[in-house]
Amino acid sequence: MFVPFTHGQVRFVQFNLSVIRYYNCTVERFRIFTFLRMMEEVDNIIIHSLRQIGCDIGENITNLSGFNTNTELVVEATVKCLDIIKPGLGLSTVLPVNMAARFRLGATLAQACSELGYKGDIGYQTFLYSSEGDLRKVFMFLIEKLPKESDKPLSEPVSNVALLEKSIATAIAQSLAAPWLPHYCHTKGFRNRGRARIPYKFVNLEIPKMESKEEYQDYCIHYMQSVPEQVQNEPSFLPSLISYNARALHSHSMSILDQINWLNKQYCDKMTEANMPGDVNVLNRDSTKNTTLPSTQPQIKDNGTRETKIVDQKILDKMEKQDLQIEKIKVECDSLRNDMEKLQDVIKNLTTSVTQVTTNYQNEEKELTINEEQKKIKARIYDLFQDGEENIKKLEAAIETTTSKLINLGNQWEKHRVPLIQKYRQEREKHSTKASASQKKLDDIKLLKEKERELQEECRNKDQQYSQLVIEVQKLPKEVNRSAYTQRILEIINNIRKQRDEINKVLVDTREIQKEINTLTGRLERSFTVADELIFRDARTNEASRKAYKLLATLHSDCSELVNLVEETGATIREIRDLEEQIDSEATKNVGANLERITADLKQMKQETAELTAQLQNKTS
Amino acid sequence: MELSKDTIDGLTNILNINIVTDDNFLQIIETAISYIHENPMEIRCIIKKSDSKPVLTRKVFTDVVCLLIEAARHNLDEESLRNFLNLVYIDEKRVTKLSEVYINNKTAIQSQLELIGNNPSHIIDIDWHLDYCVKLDTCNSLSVPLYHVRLSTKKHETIDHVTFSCTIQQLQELVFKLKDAIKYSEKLTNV
Repeated sequence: MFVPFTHGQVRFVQFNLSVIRYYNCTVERFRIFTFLRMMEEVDNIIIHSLRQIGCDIGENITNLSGFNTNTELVVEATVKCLDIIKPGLGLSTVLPVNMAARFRLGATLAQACSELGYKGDIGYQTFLYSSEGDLRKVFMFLIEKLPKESDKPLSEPVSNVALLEKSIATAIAQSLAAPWLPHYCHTKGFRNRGRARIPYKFVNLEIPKMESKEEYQDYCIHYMQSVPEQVQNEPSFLPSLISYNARALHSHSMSILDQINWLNKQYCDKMTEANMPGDVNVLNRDSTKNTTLPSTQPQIKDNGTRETKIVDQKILDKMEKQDLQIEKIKVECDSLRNDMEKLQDVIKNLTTSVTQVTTNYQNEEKELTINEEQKKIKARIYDLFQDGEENIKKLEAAIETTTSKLINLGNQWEKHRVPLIQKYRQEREKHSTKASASQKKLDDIKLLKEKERELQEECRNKDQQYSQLVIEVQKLPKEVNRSAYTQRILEIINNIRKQRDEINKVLVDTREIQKEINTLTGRLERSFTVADELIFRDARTNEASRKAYKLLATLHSDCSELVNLVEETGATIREIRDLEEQIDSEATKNVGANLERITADLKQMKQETAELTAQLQNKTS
Repeated sequence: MELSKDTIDGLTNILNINIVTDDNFLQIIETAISYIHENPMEIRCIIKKSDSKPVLTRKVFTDVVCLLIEAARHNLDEESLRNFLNLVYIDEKRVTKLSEVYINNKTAIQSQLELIGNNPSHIIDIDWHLDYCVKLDTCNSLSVPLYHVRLSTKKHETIDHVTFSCTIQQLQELVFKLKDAIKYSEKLTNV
């Protein structure tokens, strides 16, 4: 009865052990998987950043293991990173052929890295005979040290919220930067901001209104206190005024009439809104009227024609008569028109003759006046002829006086003329200078206008460029930015969390199973001792039970052996896994390949040294 | 900037040469400014002294003071005030005069306005002493240090005191809270 039971228990224990092994395996696999995933992500980020700073990394290289065999690439990437972090190192990105120079380059790179603050183990071998892990560490360090985009000047924020935040930031920074002062020094300026000395208390001001009744005006003039007097407490003057303005701005009238008017207005607004489609209807009605009207008119005309047919003949007679009359009148009109034309011709002729006559008359008159003047002169001459000598003398004297007068006038004229001419010249000069100045200004204005036009064109070009660039920016793939990284990082974190949960679950399970195993072994022990005792008691008397006892003992020892074996296998499997891991980690360092490279380099160096010694010997000999 | 319709009417009056004479205009502006600067005694007499249209003068005085205060509150510069006044009424000379007066007195008005307001009291000083409490009563020994703190606060020129006692832990908690606040305000500066 006990045997199958114990056997089943043993099987159960075995099963549990296999479960534990399975769990252990899965945990291990999770660990390795997450490690690989993370390494992959890190490699992606590193390679992406290196590409961004201008390293020529082939498309086929997706992780850092691709760097292992490619020393040139490693050196180039490191030098470029260092150049960006610390410009002015002056290292060449090309790996030199000479072995000694290579070592020197590797050593300087290692030194630069440690100067930047790299804490790990670093030397020329890190770059020249690289292992994946070391390289990853170095590149992670270098890429973290790269100047970030956020260090660059950002474009100005445009939105109101950003501006507000900025102003808040400046205000806080200002007050944080200010040195401490005792409170009685806070009187003015930004120190005093937020430290009001006077509470906001206001008085309801009464302000006289302009258009009102006589009594009110009278009250205003004689009894109303002026605004400053209304405010008894002097510091509440400004608050009172502010509240007065605010109240006047936002108040609603309290009188019932106004409120009713307001309500009516609201109602009207609503009504007009409701009527809007109605108006359209009215318009439509009008248009339909218009369309119906022409259709009625023809009907009326039809009626008319029926009636006219009855009195057709009479009208025809009348028409003939009228035609005759019209023809008569036409003839008369023609004759009258002819008359008119003739008369107009006559009038034209007459007007031309009139003008001729008037010109003649004018000429005659002119001649007459000339003749009259001549007649006067001649009469004067005849008068003077009577006593010629004296008159001649008189005339000469008169001539002399006139000549002297003329000379005088000429002198005077000269006197006046000279300053005037000078003035004129001055003015002209002034004018010319002014003109030149204005010309200059005009030129300036023209230049400015041209400049303005140029600037406008430039501005337009820039605008175009800007819009183009904006379009390009929109076209550009957006996966490159930081958010993608953060998203990835978040994903990784989530994964890790999930995995941790699973690991925890597995651990709990193993613990439970351990507990179960313990209880089962306890129960086994107890049941064995009971069975042992019972059979032992019977064994003295009963032969069969003695046999059974022996069998039980052997069964028990065999089972415990089995359990031990299972445990041992578990331990060995674990050991094997550890060893495998160690092998993997050693393999990543690819010591073999590196050793081969080192030996090759050593050979090359030996060759070079041999050559150099040969040269030396040649020179000395 | 917004002003009530009444005030804007008053401003149209004061900017109109036909309604307010030049002398009166200058007097009103002077009065308004000197009132904002707080020496009210002489002003009262000026207001009483002034002239044939006492009602108008009173109203217009209020309107000018309102305009100056509101402009200072909104921190307008000369150009925008001019634009505003040109919308109200166009008289180049008076608008220029008014905006000139405003610009000359803007900081004064603003510092007057800054003094007005309601705000929580400020801590200006702190005083403390440390007691060591040995026993609570005859039976129980306590041996705990006790801090007595007195904060001096200031609100509207009146100085008040807030006193409290606390254990070391409570005081530390307070200090951490204060440090948090400082850190937060420093973080705000790096927008």
